[in-house]
Amino acid sequence: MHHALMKKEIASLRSRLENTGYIADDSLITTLLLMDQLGRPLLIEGEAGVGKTEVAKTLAILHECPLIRLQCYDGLDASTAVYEWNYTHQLLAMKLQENSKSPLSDRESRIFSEAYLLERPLLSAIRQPQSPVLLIDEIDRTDEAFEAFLLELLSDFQVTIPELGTIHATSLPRVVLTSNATRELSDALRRRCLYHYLEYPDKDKELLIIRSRMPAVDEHLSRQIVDFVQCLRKSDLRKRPGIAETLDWSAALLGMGVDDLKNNLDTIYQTRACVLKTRDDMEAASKTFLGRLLETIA
Amino acid sequence: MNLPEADTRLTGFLRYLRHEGYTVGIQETLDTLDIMQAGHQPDKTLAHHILRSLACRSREEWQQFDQLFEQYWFPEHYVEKSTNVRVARLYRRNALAGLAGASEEEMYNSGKNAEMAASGAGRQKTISRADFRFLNDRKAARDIEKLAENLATVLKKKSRRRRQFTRHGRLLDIRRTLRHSMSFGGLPVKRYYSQRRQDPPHLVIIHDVSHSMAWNNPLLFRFVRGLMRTFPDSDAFAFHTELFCVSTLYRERSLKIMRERLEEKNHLWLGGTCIADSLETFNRTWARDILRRDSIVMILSDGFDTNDPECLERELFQLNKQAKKIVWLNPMLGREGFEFDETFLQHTRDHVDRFAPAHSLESLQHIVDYLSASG
Repeated sequence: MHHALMKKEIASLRSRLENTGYIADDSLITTLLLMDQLGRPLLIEGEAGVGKTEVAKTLAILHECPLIRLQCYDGLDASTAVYEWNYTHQLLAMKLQENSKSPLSDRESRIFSEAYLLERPLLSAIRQPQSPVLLIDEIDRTDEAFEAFLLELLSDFQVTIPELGTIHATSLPRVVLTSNATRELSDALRRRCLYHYLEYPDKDKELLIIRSRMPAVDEHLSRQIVDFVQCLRKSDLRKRPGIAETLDWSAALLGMGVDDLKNNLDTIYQTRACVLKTRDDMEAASKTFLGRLLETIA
Repeated sequence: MNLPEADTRLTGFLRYLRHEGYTVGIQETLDTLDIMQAGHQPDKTLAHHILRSLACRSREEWQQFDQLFEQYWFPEHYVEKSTNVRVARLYRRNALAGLAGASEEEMYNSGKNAEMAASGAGRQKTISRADFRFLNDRKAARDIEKLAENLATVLKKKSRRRRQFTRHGRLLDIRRTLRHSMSFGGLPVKRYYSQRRQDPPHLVIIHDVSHSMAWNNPLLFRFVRGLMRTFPDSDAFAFHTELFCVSTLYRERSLKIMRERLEEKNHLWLGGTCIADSLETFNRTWARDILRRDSIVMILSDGFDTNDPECLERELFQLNKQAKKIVWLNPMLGREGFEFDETFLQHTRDHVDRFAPAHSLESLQHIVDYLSASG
């Protein structure tokens, strides 16, 4: 693609993303464009609350296609992620066919047919008539065996079911994988994906996000909230607040009728649970500490 | 076929990234060339974004990319930084190792003189046997640190495997039994059970972070960090002349933040070692709250102690009474020519269940095997 054209594409995608309420920087937009051009999955890493999952949701809105989500967890296996046979129906069918005169092989092939196949998110994603967005959320929570299993899907967009054969994708899903980096992912998986690391947003970007998501919060208060949260992120906290926390806090302050953070230390203290998520952080955020932060903001 | 100059420079850049440890294969090269078509000079920002998305595979690579990009494409802007990039990187690596007080030049020379211990065999095998202290290849060091962290997750998997389905047990696994009844026309001829889940081992790690351990610590740090993140109930302590609890720090997601906070708070690597005093602090302050009957205490230390061996024996005896096992990992143990001090051994062997080397990935693998067998 000509680079001038690509620049135009970036600008267009930026405005479309903004219309859906997602503020992205050029770096992420370029990666999203590359994802479409190369047809490769996108692996997004970053701290919790920086908007990784939101990327997939926004893509689904943008392309007006379904979002299929696979939430990963420790112990996730193929029967929960890809497919499962409907055993109860298979048993019933077998009972019904007991007196049937058709050959055994026929009966068996009927039992292991599409009619008794339960689609799980991964299989469902490759069999959609329209390309969906497949979100494989928190891939780092699964084990390596499942990660290896995903390789076939991510490189060839196909799934092999021993009883049925290989099922090829009818439409290529846009795959977004997110990871909180609680463990290292395999090189094989990483190599199949484009990579993007989402940092906490800078002041300007965070302000834009608040203005876009919460237009009811006036600009002065938005600035103060952003400054305060940015200072908080630089502090020695166990869990730094993400964008979701900033938005929650903004909503809480708005609900309490705060229009200026200055002289509202008590309210900040009372609502600190919106931005601080561990007991250690709650204990560390004394009124004195919050007051000191408040002094540093404009 | 001669490539146009733009493409030659581009492939040169990809080669450079590969040299720096990035995984840039043929597919990545083709994709990059495809996107950055010859004849259209991309502007700096766009090229930077495109190449970063295509070439990076991890956070570390992502963060280092800016520097490499500038260095390759705009060396004129990079004169000052590039003069000692290698030293700077060595410094970063050693920041974790903690050669506090050593000059950058000293570090550069010490790095330059060291050679990777083994060669010829497969890379994985080679680096897993290599003594971490002599591992000068930056990519190999990074790989080995990553593998050390992953080893810990292997331990979790080994303990998880005990949840496998069995043919005997008390809890019937209905899903699997039904699945296998298909071949018997729906009759549950073969019954399957699931085994009771065993709790993961409770680990208490006591990590020597004194000056004499500095060289080994990147590897051990990653290993301990992996253990701490894999087993949320575990506890970690670090000591030199004092003991301090580092459980929360070792679970920190970002390696960089963990490193900074550790060094900033605890003044690591500066002093000598008081193992007995530190164990005394542990026994007095922490043991009652932390130790359980199934706790495995893992001491990571080279054993060089400024306290009396009698004191060490007394504290190990105390510790041994409360814990299930004491495992002592010594990075010096696997090295040629190292022998235990007879007095040290005399005072400790009755109270320590196992002394094991911890100088290479392979030795850490043995520890994982041992822990999973005894967990």
